Amino acid sequence: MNAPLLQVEQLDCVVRQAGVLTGDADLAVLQQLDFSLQRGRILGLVGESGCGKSMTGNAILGLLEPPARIVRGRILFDGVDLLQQDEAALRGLRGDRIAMVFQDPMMTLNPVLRIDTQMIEAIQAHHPLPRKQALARAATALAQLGLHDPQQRLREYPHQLSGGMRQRVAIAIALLNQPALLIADEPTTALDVTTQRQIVQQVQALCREQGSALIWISHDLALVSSLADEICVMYAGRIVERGPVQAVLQQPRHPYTRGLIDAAPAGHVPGQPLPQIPGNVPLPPPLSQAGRGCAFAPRCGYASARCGETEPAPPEQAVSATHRATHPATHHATHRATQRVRCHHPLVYSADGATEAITP
Amino acid sequence: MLGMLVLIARRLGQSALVLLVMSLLVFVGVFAIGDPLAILVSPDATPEEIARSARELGLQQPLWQQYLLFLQQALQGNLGRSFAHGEPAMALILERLPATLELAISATVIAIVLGIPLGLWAGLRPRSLSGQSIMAGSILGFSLPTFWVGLMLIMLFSVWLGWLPASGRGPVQSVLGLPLSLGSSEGWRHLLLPALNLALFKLALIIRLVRAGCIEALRQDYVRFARAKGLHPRRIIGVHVLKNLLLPLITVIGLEFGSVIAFSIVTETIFAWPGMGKLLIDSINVLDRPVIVAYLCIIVLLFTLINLLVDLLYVLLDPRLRPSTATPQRAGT
Amino acid sequence: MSARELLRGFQRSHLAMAGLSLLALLLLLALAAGVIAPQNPYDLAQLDITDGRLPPGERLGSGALALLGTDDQGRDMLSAILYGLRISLLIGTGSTLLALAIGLTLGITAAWHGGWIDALIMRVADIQLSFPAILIALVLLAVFGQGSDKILLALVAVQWAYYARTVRATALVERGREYIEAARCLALPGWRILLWHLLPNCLPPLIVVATVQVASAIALEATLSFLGLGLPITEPSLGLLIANGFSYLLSGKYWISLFPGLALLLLIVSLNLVGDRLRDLLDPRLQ
Repeated sequence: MNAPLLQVEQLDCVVRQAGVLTGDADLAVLQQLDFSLQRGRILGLVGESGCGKSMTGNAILGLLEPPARIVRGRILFDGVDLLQQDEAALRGLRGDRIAMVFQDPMMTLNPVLRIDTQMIEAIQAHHPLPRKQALARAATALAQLGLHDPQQRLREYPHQLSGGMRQRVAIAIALLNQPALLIADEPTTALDVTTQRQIVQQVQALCREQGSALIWISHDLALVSSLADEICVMYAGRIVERGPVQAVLQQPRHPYTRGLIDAAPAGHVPGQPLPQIPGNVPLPPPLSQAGRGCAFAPRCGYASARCGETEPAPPEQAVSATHRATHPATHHATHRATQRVRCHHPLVYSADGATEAITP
Repeated sequence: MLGMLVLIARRLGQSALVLLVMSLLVFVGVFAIGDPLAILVSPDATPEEIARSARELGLQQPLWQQYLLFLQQALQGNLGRSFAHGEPAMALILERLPATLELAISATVIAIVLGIPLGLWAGLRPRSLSGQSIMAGSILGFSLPTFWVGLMLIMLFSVWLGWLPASGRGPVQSVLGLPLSLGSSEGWRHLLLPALNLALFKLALIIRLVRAGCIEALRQDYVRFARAKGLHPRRIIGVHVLKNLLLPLITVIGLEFGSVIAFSIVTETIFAWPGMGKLLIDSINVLDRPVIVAYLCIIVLLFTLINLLVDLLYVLLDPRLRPSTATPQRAGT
Repeated sequence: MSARELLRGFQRSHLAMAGLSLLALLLLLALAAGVIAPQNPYDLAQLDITDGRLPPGERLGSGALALLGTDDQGRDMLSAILYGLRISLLIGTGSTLLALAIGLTLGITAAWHGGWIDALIMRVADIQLSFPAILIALVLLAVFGQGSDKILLALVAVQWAYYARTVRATALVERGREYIEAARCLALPGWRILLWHLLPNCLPPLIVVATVQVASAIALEATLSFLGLGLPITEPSLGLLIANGFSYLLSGKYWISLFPGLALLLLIVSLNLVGDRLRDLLDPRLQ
């Protein structure tokens, strides 16, 4: 069994909030984050807005800026702890081995620099390639993402491109150096559905082709299910459930995952009101109050007194060894890819997989 | 290219309109409100001279014809003779224009060369002691009157330290046909203090602008993306941030160039710099009105010209404003 | 925002508090100039030309101490500065209040009527603001001649446009608010809505502009006086005192220019500090 490409271990992250009267306080925004990703695999990171998905992506790349900072944990990339690296070493990795694209394609590209400038600099920051060859590589990358007439596109400024084209350019830039890991932070959220589909397919195909692993951050379960091998469901800065995408989507074990799936419009009976998870994602608690009970308990239909008192432990043991056998899509999954849940009362399913019950 | 020409033509038209309005204002001030003979003819003139001037100015004609005559004369640069010098007022001013321009351009260069690095430094470390000190200095530079700073400079560098001369222009040499101080070291020494004095306000302005722009740019996604690409901070600041700052900066520097020339009135008076600002003050003191009117015309022309140039430069530099044949197209189909 | 809240807002910033205290001190000194000044600098009978250009700390012929030295007329600089402070403040605040009244009227008129009146007023303001204040003041003084009334006129003329613009912008926003609609529904007369409802809401941004404008009016007056185009020699403001000493500066007699200069500096800086803090506290966009 290979060592995973990326291994995030017990990552805690805080944001310092300045208080006029109360003094500064650290808010716990990521708590005991723990997941791993094998080479060439695709991980979907899902959850409502404000649950820490983007922060996770930025943390891996070392792009967290004050007032946010990492207080504990390890991020092993290819066996090296990124948190122990200095800025120069991280800079060498960024854009070369680990790349990232962001949500808003209108803001990602520098408005006053031509596309070719922005692409060539991304190559030359890591490889001493002559301009001509760099240009050729840039044109190829643009063509791979389905942009017509790449030579013309290279000479244009961002404002001359549509939102979809800009996001393609941004993704092409991220993939220029064939990174081992691409982190995509909701890159298609701002785009229309057709463009979104195309881009998702192209990125998926390109990553498979280049052997790049991919972390796709999204709040859209349906999108992630069509793309990812594995899925991590985040809630309030924690991973509450993770596992092979089929297993998690068909038999979610965390009540929150269940709620997300039920709230998705796809496959719902028309005319029926869409089920909702009551309430909103809570604001990150001060560090001193973190860990008092399950963060989801106030919105959870299954919550017991215990849920309000102690926080469920991060899942360490495989919940169901049978999933690997029952779901063909996960046949090559390692032990890392088994379904795990962070809940006092995980949902369980009867043998036919249809009914559900709650553990006592 | 055609779009560009249309744009230039439109801007030129606007400038011409502004000039027309301003000429009307000057005309109204001199001919309709004031007494043109008192303003434009020397008080020592003989009755015959006065009568001749009245004929030349067309004072017996209706006002609109007087205006046309004034316009025609002004276009030919004929705005009367200086009472004090006996020379044509316009020639007198143009003679002193190079000295003023030299001072104003040097001041602008100083403001840019010092202002951009200081502003960037303060913008990159807004909370540090150095950043806050730069900001405090910039606030001081804003609120201190130019003449006061000039006095302090003279006191410090000329009187107490004795390093630099306090007044005059020093020797000038002909550079490309223009008499400039920049040709000799003595000229430089004379130029330094007045240029520094004149630069101070612009320096404060540029620091503030660059700092705010830098802080703003650092928050943008394109800077985060540039970092995610693994670019060196030098390149992110020097190319990504600075290039975005350049546009507002050039606009402000350009538009402020007019006020640098206006404020050179003060600096030239303090440092006895023989430019057109000092000429204006001298003329006001001896009521040499043709020179005042001529100065007014020249300054209005300069301001309009500067506005026009800045507008055009802005269009040239900002790709988003540049008229383009390429329109956004949809990809992927 | 009540006065107490404002004061508390000031207390949160040491710099602003220092500015406010300094300003209060200077105001007090200026008001009490006639009482605390060692001599009346305008009373020629008290001056002795043989006391001329005494350095700081020397004694006058009369035995009185010239703490800050004397000028070429034998005038005690400390007294001259106290009286000059008064004149500078008077002309600065006077011109600002006058310009404020004019700008307020024009700005509200423009916002209330709209149409060509609005266009005309704002266009004139735009053209004027595109030229530096000093240039406009110089031209006016050149055309109309010199004197305290003329300089007041020039200072008002360069300031009104700032207020007109600020008031118009605020009034346009306020005019669209519900409470104005409600007042109209009650069929209140137009002038009542203007006076009782619109005006009070336009004031906070005006106060901010005015504080900073007093500082720049004082600076501009000092500059004009320095250029010899300001106040007559019989009413020396700080700027004129500085100008008087300028010719002696080169021969090392620094005190005639330096001390009035420092007084001017403190006055302007304290006004700016107070103005900056007021803007922070009163501008809702910054909170």
